[in-house]
Amino acid sequence: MENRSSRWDIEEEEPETPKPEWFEWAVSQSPSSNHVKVDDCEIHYLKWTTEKAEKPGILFVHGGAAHAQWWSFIAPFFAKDRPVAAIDLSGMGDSSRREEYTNAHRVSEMAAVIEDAGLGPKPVVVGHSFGGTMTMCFCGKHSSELSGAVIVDTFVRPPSEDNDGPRGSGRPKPYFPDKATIARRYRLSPYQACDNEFIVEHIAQHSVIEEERGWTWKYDDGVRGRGTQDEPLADYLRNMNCPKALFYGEESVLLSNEVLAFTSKQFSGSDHIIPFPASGHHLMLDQPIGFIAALRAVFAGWGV
Amino acid sequence: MADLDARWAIDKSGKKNTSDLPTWFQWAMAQTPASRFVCVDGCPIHYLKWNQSDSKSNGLLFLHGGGAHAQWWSFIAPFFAASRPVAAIDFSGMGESGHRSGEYGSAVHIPEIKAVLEEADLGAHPVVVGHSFGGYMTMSYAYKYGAALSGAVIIDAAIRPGTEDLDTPPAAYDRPKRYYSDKKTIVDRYRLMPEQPTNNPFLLNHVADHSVREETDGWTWKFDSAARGAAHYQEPLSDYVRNLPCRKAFIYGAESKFMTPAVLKHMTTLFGLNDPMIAVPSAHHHLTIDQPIAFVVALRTILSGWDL
Repeated sequence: MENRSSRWDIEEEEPETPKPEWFEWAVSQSPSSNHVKVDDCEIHYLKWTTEKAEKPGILFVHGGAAHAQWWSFIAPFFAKDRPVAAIDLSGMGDSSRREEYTNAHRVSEMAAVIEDAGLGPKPVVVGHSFGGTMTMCFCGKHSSELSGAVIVDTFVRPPSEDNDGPRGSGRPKPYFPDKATIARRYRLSPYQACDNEFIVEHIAQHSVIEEERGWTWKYDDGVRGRGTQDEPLADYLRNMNCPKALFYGEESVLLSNEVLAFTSKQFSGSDHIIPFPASGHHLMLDQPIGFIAALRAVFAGWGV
Repeated sequence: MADLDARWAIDKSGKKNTSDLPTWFQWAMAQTPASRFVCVDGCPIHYLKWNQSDSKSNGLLFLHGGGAHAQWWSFIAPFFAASRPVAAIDFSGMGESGHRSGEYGSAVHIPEIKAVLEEADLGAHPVVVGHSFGGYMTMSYAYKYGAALSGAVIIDAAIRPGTEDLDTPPAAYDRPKRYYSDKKTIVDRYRLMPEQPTNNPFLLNHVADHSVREETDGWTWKFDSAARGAAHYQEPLSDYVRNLPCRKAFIYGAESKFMTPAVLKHMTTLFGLNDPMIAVPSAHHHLTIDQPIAFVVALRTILSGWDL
């Protein structure tokens, strides 16, 4: 019996998954860590070093309960000739918390980072999941100030469907004795398997913080599951004054024929709708190189 | 011992448990293309065709690299075949196509492309996609007949500034083909040209498996030695690409040994501002082997940008 438990210990402390060279290179391109105050809340963002900022900038917007480091293995591939930043929306990552989180706050936070980071007069916004929803909200107000918007695995539903209501924050956040334990507990949400374990590990390392009671998740419980049901997202999407693209995972848990058909209706013939094979909802984790190549092709087509 | 031997025998057979293969690859392999022939200047030219529906949309024709064959595209093509007709050619002297007694080169391959485009029902304005040697054929073909194409996509075919019409075929290609005693031995000898690391051995296995055949003297490569290296030499490729009468795009491996700074700088001058030039990170010359899904989404995006 003793033998067996020591074997369990060994298995749980397996060394980190080996990382490919491109990943090592990308995460070694240390971005600067910056703050800008928005409606009395300190908003944190990452900004990568740019050789020559001749092309429109990019703002990357993370999904629910995620953070700017979700983009740290993608962003450097765009930073050579344009300014690139990734935001921590309030209540997530290294940004401060609010009493209450609204879409209007998020739109102001994105606008403030675009300006503070110097992303240029007409940047591109790229938003994943909840960040895609925030990108639509942002475009409801500011789409003529963008060179384009890229929505990553975010779908809109017909107004009659009441499935985006507040889900509440549910259980309080748990605490863990040490960083290794909590990092091992990290799961993608919505959950999916991911072949690139090294990316999930990287994200997990940046998702945790030590507080007085122990190690816990960085995100504020209050930000989880806030609905966006009052926003006319389909109208925002359809009426954008900038080119737009949708990337989605062919195996995304959010995908159905109905939502795809309704979402596609908000796109025009000259917009992109690009399905990613062998990808789930978190498609830039499943196919990071594909994500970069497709985004490069989108930008090339838009002349940005 | 008997048990152990049996287990070793399984390992040595080279047959992988299919469950080790990614789902997407298994799906693509299950999309069996039709195998067809068309006679061009007395030579039977073989091609694969996916999607037999009467789709009127503009199709895709894939052109393989030097010494390669249509099966290089069989794990890529199905991802495009749901909405359009798709075909992949075996150039004469390669794959399942016939061998020629005369010289190979664009003079014989351009009519082969034209014939397959006409025979395969690829729509009024198809797109031609060519890798490496097939990329040079794409340049030649599209320069001549591009007015009838929706676009030309060139993959990792380098044009070196000012030298391309002076290049001569490498002499090493004149060596006679070797024969091997059995299939496994020859398949294990298969190497990408130029050699490069690859993370997807199952794709290499797949193309190797279709690169060999048994003849009276034993197992050997399908390609005709004379077909290697003939190619594009002594053609003004820069002029072709600069003056293509159709839309064009370039996809290359960020780690490709052919894409030197001088080559990239030169090629940038041949493409317009709105022509996509897409570097695929971490990919080498054979980028469809290195990053198949990235290639699929990049090509999907290029086609979408052309409203196709």
